[in-house]
Amino acid sequence: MTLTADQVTALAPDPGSANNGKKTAKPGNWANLGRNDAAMWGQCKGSALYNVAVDMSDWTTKCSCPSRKFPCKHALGLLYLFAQSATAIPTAADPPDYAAKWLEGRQQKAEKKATKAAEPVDPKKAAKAAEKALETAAKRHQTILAGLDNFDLWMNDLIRNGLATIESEGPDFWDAQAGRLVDAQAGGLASRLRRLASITGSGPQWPAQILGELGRFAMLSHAYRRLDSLDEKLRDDVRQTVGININQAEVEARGEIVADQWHIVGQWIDDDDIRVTAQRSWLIGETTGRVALIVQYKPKNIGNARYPDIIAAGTTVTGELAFYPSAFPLRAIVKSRAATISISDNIRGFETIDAFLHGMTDAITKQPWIDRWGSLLKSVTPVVNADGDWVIADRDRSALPLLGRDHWRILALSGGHPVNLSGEWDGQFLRPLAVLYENRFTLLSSLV
Amino acid sequence: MDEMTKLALIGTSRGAGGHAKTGTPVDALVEKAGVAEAERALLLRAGSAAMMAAGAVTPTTLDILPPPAPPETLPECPPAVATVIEPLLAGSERELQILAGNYVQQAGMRVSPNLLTMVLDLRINDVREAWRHTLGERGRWLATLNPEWKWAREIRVEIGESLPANAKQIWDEGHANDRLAVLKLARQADPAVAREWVRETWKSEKAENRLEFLGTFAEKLSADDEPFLVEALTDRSANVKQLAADLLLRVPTSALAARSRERAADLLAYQAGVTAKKKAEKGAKSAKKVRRRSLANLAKMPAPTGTLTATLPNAFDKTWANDGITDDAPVGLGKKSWWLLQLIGRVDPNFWVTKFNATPTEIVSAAFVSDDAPAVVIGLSQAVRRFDAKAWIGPVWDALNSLDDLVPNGLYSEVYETIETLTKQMPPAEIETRMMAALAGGNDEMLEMLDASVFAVLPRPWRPEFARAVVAGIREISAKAKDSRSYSSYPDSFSLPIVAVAIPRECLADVLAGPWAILDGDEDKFSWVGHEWRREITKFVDRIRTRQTLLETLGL
Repeated sequence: MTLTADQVTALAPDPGSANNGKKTAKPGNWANLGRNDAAMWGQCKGSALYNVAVDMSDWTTKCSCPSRKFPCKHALGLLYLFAQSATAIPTAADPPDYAAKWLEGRQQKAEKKATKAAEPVDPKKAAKAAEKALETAAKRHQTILAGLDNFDLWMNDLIRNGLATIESEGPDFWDAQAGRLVDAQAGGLASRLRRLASITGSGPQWPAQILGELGRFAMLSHAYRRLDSLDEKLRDDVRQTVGININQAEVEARGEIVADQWHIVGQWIDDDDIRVTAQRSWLIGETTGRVALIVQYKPKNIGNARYPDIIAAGTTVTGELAFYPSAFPLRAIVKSRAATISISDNIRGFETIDAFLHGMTDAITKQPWIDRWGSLLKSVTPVVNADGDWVIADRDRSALPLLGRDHWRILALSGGHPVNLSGEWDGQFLRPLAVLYENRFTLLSSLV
Repeated sequence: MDEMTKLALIGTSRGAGGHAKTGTPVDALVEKAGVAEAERALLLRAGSAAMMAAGAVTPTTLDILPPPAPPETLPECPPAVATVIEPLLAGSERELQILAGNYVQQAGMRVSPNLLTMVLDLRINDVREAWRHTLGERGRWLATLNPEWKWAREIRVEIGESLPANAKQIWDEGHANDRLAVLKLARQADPAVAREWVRETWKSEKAENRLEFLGTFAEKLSADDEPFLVEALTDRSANVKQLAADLLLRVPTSALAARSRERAADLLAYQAGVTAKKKAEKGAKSAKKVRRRSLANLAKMPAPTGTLTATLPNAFDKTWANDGITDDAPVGLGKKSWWLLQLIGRVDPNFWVTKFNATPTEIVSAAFVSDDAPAVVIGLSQAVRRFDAKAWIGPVWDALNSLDDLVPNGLYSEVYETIETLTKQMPPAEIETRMMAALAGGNDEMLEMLDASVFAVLPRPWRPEFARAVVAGIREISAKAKDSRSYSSYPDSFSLPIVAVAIPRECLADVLAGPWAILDGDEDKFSWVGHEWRREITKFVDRIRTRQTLLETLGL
């Protein structure tokens, strides 16, 4: 198992911690270092002697310092040290007491959770809870319907008056209507609506694009009113897209569980929303070839917030994913993990751009509101022309345009030779996420 | 733009009526849905069309794929090196960046592809040159694709000690720095040929190049150069004009030189021996002087063994103006003294050696205590600069630094500049001797010895003896800083970074071994000066450690 400095930086809660971690990563600061297959540990000489341990199955860390950041700079220091040179940390059979106790504690918690889940449920309690749930759902349904009625009227007005009237409108225009949707408990639709602000007036295609997006919203509200006549799986999609969230337990209970070696091929942080940052990670299963998307949120106004789960890009996790119920299951959460190793060159991916695009076509055919598709493209070459336009070309010379104008780092890593590149496609542009070449995984975006 | 979008843009209330269609099966589907309002129908059609389009994207096809980078010839630097280099390239510690680049080049390696864009994005010339040969084939290939990386595309030539066979070609087509190097060699080999080269391209060169190329004439200067120099006197650039005039002065047979000698010859008179009264007077004067500038502490003015008297010129001769002598004096200096200064400044100092049969040291120490000391000393220093009079550099440097308060306000920056220039021209051994003597003193003024401007000009790496003395001095001063409240013992954040890259390899271990008293102990108990010292010494030791790591990981 190896780790690169970039991957460690991706685990840091903020750039300041990453830097402090790097500073701590000097052998002189550490004592009693050790690691085995499951964990890593050491004592760090900070303003006092701190005990640090890392659970290598999911990179959870523990440190005796008072910091409320996870991982703290001492834990990051240990990880950076390991990234610099694995031999800096000698192998040992057993961890010292403080680490052993913590690992044992985690093991027990996980077991407890499993047994609790398997416990038989008290039927009376369950019945009451179910009734309550139905009541809430019914109320919510009415609220949403009312909200959609308003929204549809608003959209009709727009078309009646003409999109030209909104060309010069700022984000407030969209935010106002989005706010009303949020009040109507249709938060999913609200986020999608907000994104239209950046498309307005952005280029010669903007009217067609906006019209297309509004059209999709119309399709969604149309479908919502006909939920009962929809396929069960599609019903889930319409609900989720509108904004009816389901929790982890329900996903694991109702969603498809797929076990595989899941390669975490790309990741980026969507910072647009005012209140949350979203971490989007794309995975592909080695045996099943399934594509999965893991989205995690972190609130912006809370200082030491962290993502619920540690999804480390550039690693392969052997375990189970639970997919959100859908006509084309794409979004998932991690249900269980057995082992984590570094990603290598020969993993599964899309061999041609055609195959990649076909993947998205397949997805849209089954779930038409899917608007982004990401995975690993194998053996593609970055190309820039004299105008500064970037594309990625496969061995058949089919090319997809890249989002943005500064991809020199990718070109430097490729040298004009084909490399493996992960990216997120939105129908127009590919956002490049990571380069995998000669068994080296380089994440392109700055994280945190 | 299709019909549907057009209609949506204008608005259905203004449209020509009728429902815009997509012309695909979508139309039938929407009709089946039985939607009443035209707007809603349009939206549904547009939405379906958009969904279909999203699933039907066809990629473009490139005609050809551009050729990849040529295969590399140099080995890639190991990951341990990349880890150390990356933060350096991202930061702004110039000296250390230059050192690291030189190390990698020395080791004959190239940087890893992941770091190439960072090297290509470097902005400062010195740093770029230090990293140029670490780019490898891929780096140069990348540079051809991005106009911002022009600097990396330039082909630099290795120019050794002797004139290469293709020297003329390099002069005609090469990079500016290479052209200068080859010109210098040509000048050494045959001044006449070098002169012809310069004359050929003179009119089309940029001012800064003209200045540099003209500067090469200082080597093997002779009467043959006079015609070209006279031509250069009419140059557009003031600096070039000034340099041409200075060079002409240095041609002993030139009319200008003869005129200048004539004008100055009678202004100074010298007699061996000092009267006892004068000695005592001058001694008292010296004691009152306040040493403000740090370098002053390095300067040692020997006691005078002769008497120098200056005669101030009575009137400003109109012919002087043609040769660049000005009438108006700078602030703090009398007019006549100013004329005296300029006239002395245009005569080769060795003229006085012959005339007075005295050594430079004797003349300067006498001048220092004379009545018109500022004018005479500064005048002599100008002459020393102009004529590159090597034997005079030491004594004049000492004198200038010791003038202190006596320097007229209006000449302060010129004197400072002259000191800087002379420091660069002074043989390093002389600077080192002065500095080491002062460091050994162990007094509080030791701190003042750590002067960045002096450190910057000494050739690197420093001699071990000197380096050890400086490190010992820093150790001692920093140890005392914990409790210091004196502002004057504030560390110089300019000189320590230079020390870190300038000391030779064999001294690194000593620094890393310590002890550094300032790094121990509870910081909360330190004075604020102590805090600053701890920070500076921490950075200092870190830089040394980085050097050590680079040397080890590069296998140097």
